[in-house]
Amino acid sequence: MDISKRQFLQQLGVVTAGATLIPLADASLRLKPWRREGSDTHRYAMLIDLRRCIGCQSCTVSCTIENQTPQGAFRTTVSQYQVKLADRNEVTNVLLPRLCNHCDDPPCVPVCPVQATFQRKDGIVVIDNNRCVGCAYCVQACPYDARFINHTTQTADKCTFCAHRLEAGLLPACVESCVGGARIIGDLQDPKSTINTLLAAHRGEIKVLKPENKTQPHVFYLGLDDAFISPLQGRAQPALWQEVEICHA
Amino acid sequence: MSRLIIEEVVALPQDITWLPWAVQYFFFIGIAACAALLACTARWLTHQHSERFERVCLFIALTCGVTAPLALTADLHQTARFWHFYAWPTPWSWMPWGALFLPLFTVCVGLWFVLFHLRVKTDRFTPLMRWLALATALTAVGLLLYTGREVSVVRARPLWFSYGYPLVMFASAMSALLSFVSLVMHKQRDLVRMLAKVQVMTLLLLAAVTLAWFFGDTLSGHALRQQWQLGTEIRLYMLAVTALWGVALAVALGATRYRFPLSVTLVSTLLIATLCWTLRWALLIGGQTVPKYNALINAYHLPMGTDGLLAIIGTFGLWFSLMIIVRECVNWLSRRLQNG
Repeated sequence: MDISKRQFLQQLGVVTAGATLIPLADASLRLKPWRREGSDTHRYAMLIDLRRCIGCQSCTVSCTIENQTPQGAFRTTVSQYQVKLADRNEVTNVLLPRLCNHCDDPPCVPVCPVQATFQRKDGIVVIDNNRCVGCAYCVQACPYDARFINHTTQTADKCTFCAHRLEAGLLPACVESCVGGARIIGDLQDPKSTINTLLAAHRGEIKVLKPENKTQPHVFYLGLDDAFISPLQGRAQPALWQEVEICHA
Repeated sequence: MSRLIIEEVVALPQDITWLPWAVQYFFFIGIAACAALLACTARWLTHQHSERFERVCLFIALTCGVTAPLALTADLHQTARFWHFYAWPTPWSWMPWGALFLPLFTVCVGLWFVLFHLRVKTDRFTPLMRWLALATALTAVGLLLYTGREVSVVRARPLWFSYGYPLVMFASAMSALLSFVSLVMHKQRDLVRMLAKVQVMTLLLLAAVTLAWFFGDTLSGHALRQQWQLGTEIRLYMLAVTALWGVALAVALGATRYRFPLSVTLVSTLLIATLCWTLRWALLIGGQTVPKYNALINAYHLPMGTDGLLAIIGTFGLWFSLMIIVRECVNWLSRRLQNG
């Protein structure tokens, strides 16, 4: 052996200390999170046309297959409600696809203690799960239940608008599989994009969830009743069905 | 217009991700920080009980200050990555301030504790202790501030989103500490009486802040009142905490006039510690059961394993073990010093 254990450990110490300082040198002095990676020539957003959603959960299934989330953990789901007026007998369904809102002012980003979660220049909020410490602070800070701890990676997990697919020129799995074509993803920086055209055409009817949180969500809903904009606890009867609790060792 | 009846048919509840480890951390770190503050006060004031008071507070600060960070690291799902806090400093988030204050606090308390017990041999360092005490108190303030604010800035959980939160955490931790000190120093009657008076004031402060928080015209106040009206689990916690507070106040008021036997002091200490712990459990675990959007609550069942009951028993067990080890080490050291 041409290197003694002592020398090896000394060098390892120097390399480790050096590697630790690299991010410090890169960071310079910043006092708030900044957008990195991705291209600032795009700003991705999603419009969900609820009039076209049939609640088939294709998006839920295709997302779990594409992103291999653990059993019982979902990056997107479709909540379902039955609604009626007190003095009428007719019942109707309200379907509400839920996912990360890729907010312009995402509350999950500034709380991350190690800058593992960040917003890309194209607006997509992502997590570097090699850096994430799994403190779940972002899970608490997200107003949309969009984040969870992935018990396979033991790090935070969430929808990324399938950034890996967008970069390859493909649509996100949920958009691709949507039976009714309810999910429309597009680039707000492109004035001719379908999403911009639809947003302009339905200007007065576009809603976002929990606008009172001032997070500037970039998942827009078309056909959403005002009753569903704010939290439902106390205004709605709780679920008839819920996910069976899964114990993770 | 007719009322809309909404029934939630399909919804996914959110998991509880801040586990009982976090409750244990907030319990122990609050008490440790308050103990350091009182020990510092004792160091700077001259009183017949100052030295013994400082000794007791330092003992509590050290044992709780070692237990707390161990509980905290267990709450990280990627414990081995704790060094990322230092590799990517993030001053705009409250949480990483803990990575600065916690080690500083533990080192300062440890150093102070050693200097205090070796003061016979290290006379020349004794004047330094006042400044070390001050430095420790500053890190303790940092800990109280960061632990309070890291939770109370989370707007997505309106229950937590209040300046009342850090104050309630501080007052309840101080209350638990005062009861611990009273228990240890129960033989010093005049001191116990004085501590009981401070306890009454602390409990009244706790009640005043809680009432202002509950009745305040804030997002958090509305959320608290909504949980009360809906009769959720949070309401049960509120009732339990109020009952514990009432008994604690009655005992503290009694202790300002009468001398209680040790058994009563012990029971009241346990009650106040339970009050302090239950408040944290109710806010942290109970707070996470409140859904952010769904009608369905995020149910929580305490698991029996390391993420549940074992975490609670284990951290208390660790604290008791530390107290025994530290006490035995100090006794051994005192004997060695006395025998030259």
